[in-house]
Amino acid sequence: MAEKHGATDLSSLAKALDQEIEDHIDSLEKKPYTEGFSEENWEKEIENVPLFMTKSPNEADYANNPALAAIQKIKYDEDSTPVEKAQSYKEEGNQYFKERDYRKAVFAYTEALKENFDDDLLKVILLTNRAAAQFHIENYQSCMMDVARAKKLKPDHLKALIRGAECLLKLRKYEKCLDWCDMALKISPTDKKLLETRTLADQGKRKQERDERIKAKKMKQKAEEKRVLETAIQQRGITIKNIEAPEDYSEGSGHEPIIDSDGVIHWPVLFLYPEYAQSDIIADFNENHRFVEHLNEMFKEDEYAGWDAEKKYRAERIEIYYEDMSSRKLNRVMPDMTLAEAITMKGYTLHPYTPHFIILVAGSPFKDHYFENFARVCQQMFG
Amino acid sequence: MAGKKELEELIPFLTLNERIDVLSVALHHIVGLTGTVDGILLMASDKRYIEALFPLTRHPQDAIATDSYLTLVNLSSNKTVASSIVADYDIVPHFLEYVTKSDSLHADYVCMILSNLSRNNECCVKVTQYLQKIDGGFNQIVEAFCKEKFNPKNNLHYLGPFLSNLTQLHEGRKAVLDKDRCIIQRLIPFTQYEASDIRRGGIVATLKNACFESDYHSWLLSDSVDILPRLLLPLAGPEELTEDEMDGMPFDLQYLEEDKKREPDPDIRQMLIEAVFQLCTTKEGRDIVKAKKTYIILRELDRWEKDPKVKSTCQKLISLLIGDDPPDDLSDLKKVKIPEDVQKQLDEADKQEEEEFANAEI
Repeated sequence: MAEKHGATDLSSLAKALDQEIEDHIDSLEKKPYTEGFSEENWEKEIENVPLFMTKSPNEADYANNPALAAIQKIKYDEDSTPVEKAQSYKEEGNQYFKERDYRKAVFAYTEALKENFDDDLLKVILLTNRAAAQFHIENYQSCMMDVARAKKLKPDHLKALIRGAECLLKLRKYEKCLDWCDMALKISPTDKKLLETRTLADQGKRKQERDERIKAKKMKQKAEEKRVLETAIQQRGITIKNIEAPEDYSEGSGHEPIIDSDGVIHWPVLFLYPEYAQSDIIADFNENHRFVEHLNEMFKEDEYAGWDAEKKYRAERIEIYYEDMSSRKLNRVMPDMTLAEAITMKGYTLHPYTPHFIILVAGSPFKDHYFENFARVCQQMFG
Repeated sequence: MAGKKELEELIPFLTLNERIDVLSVALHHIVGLTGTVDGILLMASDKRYIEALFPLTRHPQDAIATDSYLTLVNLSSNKTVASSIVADYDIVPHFLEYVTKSDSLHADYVCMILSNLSRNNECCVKVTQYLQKIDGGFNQIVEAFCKEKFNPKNNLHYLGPFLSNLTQLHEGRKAVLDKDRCIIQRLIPFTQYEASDIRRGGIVATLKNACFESDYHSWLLSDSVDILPRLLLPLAGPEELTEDEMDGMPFDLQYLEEDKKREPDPDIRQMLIEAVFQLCTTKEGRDIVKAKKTYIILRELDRWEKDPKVKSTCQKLISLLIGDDPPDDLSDLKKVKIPEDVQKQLDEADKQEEEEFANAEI
């Protein structure tokens, strides 16, 4: 409750307050006025006056500019109805849109839509406008969601239908795009832009269908090749390692076996150098070719692999082995053997679908070490 | 069969106020009669039948309305009846409006009636006049025809033949070929409509009619319409083509599936080839048709085609496409003047060919 003051009380209080202000002014430091407009900063200062602003303010501007914040407060006064608030957000959004500041426009329309009002037409306009802004920043999914909502509220809102058609074209949903074009054309049958959009959608659809046919054909061809290859592998009596075969044959090595028109299999082959934890992949190893041919090519005179510190990996010193887990032995493949012979040797199991071989150097200490190690592992595994 | 007199005795019972069981029996009898040529002829001579039937189509009992429509469908196949319906009554506008409403219960029967009423050229002129009086009437028909499930209870396939009848006339062709609207673009996909021969055949005939308008050829063949692939796709089979052969071909015709089927109806195949033929009558059209590798599609069709008439038309088109172009003054084949004696010989040759076909079919 307010205190009651007598007339004398009031006059003395006024005096006291006046004195306070006088004191305050006297206490201020005497210095020349420098904060006003100058030739250098007048444009910037003018820009800060809400009336003269040439750009719409952003969040930071509100915080730094009390006058602006005050106006903003009036604009979104608590006393405004939700529709009024939505309207002013919409205008704000439209302004941003004109300035091509589409993100802020989306933000403003979103604020408007948060208001709780019943005007369906306003909602439709807000949704359509937000969709347009989303479209310009390539948020096609969000754009589509808004026009779909708008269409639900008002199925014949032309702008939403046109925007939806354009958006579906961007999303390459051609069939749907044609539907939306036809709905829009029903309202505006001679709209040039719509007719163009429809033509593009029709072309896109037909090209897409062609591409799908090509894809289906390729997949079928691939499946057929796979079947032929599998039959050929089976016929050769190759044992395949009992692990889950990869869907894609090239998995692991990056290459896949192929069967040529003469029925010859070309394998990707992996050479492992356990001494240096290195490996080589031979992408195309014709099954009828001999190891020596590849070795001579890979280990040329005076050329050594970077990791071959002792320069001992020479074609004539190299020995090729594979792990025969059935007899728990490392079996040797002679260099003049063909790949087909090697992978059908006793105990060879194919790692699907890349044959692996272990390369060791004859007489090297590592070879002995490797053999010992293999025996020990077998001992541990099988007892 | 009932005689004229006995039949006439039924007329007084054909009213909306009649007891349903009585009306139903009378009507049933009438429908049965319109299934025969003699029956139709008997009723065609007396207008009282159709006059009694018009109101009965609005009978609240569905079976009665259906029978009334069915009778009218059969009767309107008769030229005299059709002429009379079109000329003497004001019912055609009602029919037109009825089929463009999505909730019309018996729209399919009315589509059949409209198709019958527009078959004959004279009647078609009148039906077209009625249609032109309705604002956007033609486009409404197209909308009803093209929009999927436009009328949930009726398929409206018979609007296909109706459109083909309308396009016998220049007015109809002009409406289909409206460059400012999306009309023909919506019709062309139906050349691939498998579910109904009626719809498909109707549209192919419509397109063939449209192709007679040479002034529109370059537009029809441009990206705005791109009619050629829609005419050729039904003629294309599953044969594997080389990439070279497909180069320049429309996307629609490339890499077709191994189970691709050709248009099963030889009459429709014939119309499709004739439509392409029309497009080749102008130099400009011919050049585009050639550039799009039409020859390859026709070559495969020729190998497959068993029907002698279609095969012959196909071969004629092939020779036009692979032959040398006529000199410039003959570049528009339709404007070439044929000397009388040559025309005679040609007619003779055509007649001979017709006979050969007739013999071959036996």
